[in-house]
Formats: sequence, structure tokens, C-alpha cells
Amino acid sequence: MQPVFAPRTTRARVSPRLAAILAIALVPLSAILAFAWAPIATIGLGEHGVQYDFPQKVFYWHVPVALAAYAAFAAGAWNGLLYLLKDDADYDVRSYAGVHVGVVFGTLVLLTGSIWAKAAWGVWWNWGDTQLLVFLTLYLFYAAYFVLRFSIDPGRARAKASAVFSVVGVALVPLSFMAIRIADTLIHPVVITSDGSRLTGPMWGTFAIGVLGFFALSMLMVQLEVAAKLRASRGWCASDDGESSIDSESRSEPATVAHA
Amino acid sequence: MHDGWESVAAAYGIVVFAIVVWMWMILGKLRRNPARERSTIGRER
Repeated sequence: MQPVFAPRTTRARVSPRLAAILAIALVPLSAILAFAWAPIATIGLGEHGVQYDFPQKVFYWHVPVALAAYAAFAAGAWNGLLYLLKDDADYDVRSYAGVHVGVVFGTLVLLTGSIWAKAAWGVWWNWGDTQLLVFLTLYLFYAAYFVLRFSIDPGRARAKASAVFSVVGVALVPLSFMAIRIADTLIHPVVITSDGSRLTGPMWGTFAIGVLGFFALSMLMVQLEVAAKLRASRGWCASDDGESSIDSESRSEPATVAHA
Repeated sequence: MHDGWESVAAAYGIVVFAIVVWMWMILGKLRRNPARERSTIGRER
């Protein structure tokens, strides 16, 4: 008999409670510190050579959100790889959630970056910036993941195609990260160079808190989405008292219905 | 008020708005109890 293809476990890899506490504490804190503690830096020349200093504050969320998007894509790819190795539908759901959260964060990166570019460069987008093009390619690649996934009927074939797609796309992450360092035209601001950091102490502290906060937030979002998907696919496994199932091990038979 | 404060407010506002909407949707999904909504499917197990 063909084994049932459905996720079996709901155990979270990282405590969702810890991720929630870190995200709730650190993300607002980074915004407060960005305005109250970090000094205004002068990076970016705007239209007609006018320097726009204050919009640089966007950086304190723009870059951490971008790093969190990279991490979510990498998590999606890692779980896709685990699916290919172990043929466990649980990894397929986790891979899907990672890519989904990565695309959500990627959208925010593009939006906040465009807002900053309008203030600093005077344009919403610069087609000559390698960093922007590589990130846009990465974003559109993973956006196409959903087109692929939902064009295939649920089951092993869909999970395998999705996993391969997510693994292939992750190669763009280091390329995107390195693009501004290998490009000839350094239009995009580079904060950490081979010569060291361009940030002062308070700027570093604020930035680091933002990175930690958005990493925790992305982990929380992935885990919540995984829990929602698992619960939707195995409705009768959920406890009647409304308790979230992400911390508990499944005790019943997996569903025969499709997931994610 | 600093020059360009509108850009900063828009950027931070968009991020907060997106995260709040996303959380509202996903927590709404988790709060719904499919065990009750799906009538008796699998209950007899």
C-alpha cells in the first residue's frame, strides 16, 4: 500500500515563544534606538547633489528585513533539500513556509528600498545598480515558486518540484549579498566593506538589534505558517481547546488530504 | 522636523502594516478550530 503523503510532526525547531518574545521586544526597540540613539549619517546623494541625511534611518529596518528575507529563503531551500533526502512531507511544508515568508520580507525590502532611493537618489528604482537587479531576480525567482507549486496537483510530484526549485534559487542569495561588493559601480551604499565597518558604535548596536529582531520575527512567522498549514491539512488532529499545535507532537494518524 | 521624514515614516509604516496584517491573518487561521468546523471527518478515529 502506498504510504500516506502528509506531514507527521508539528514540533517546532525553535521555540515559537522565544522567537515571539525576541521579535516583540527587539523590533520596536530597534526603531526607537534608530531615532533616539543612532546619529544621523550622511550617506547617499540625492537629486541635484542635495544630501538627504534623515532618510538614512530607513536603513535600520531595510537591511535587517533583507537579511531576514535571505535567511527565510535559505531555510526554505534547506528544508527543500531535507525533503529531497528524506521524503518527509513535513519538510515540504516547512520549505513552503520559508519561501513564503521570504517573499513577504522581500516585498518589504523592495518597498522600503524604493522609498529610500526616491529620497536619496531622486528616483524610485535604478536599473544600473547590480544589487537591486540581483535582489529583484531573487525575488521574482521565488515569486515564480508559487506559480510552479500551485500549477501541480498536491502530492509527491509537487513537493519534489517545489523542493528542487527552492534549492536552486538559494544560489542567488550569496550572489545578491556579494553583488554590491563585486560590482564596478558602487551606487548602492555599502556598510560593511573589506576595510571595516562604516558604522559607529550606536549605529552598530541599533543595526544589530534590528537584525536579531527581524530574524526572530521571520522564524516566528515561518513557524506560525507551518502550524496553520499542518492544522488545516489535519483538522481533526488539532486539540479542541484551541491550543496551538506547533509545540506538540502529533498523536494521531496523518491525513490523506493534501497539504500547503 | 527633518527633511525627508515622510519617506522614513512611509518605510517604517509599510513594514509595520504588512507584519500586522500578516499576523492577523495567520493567527486568525490558527484560532479557527478545524476540528469543530470539519464536522465529523475523522472524529470516529
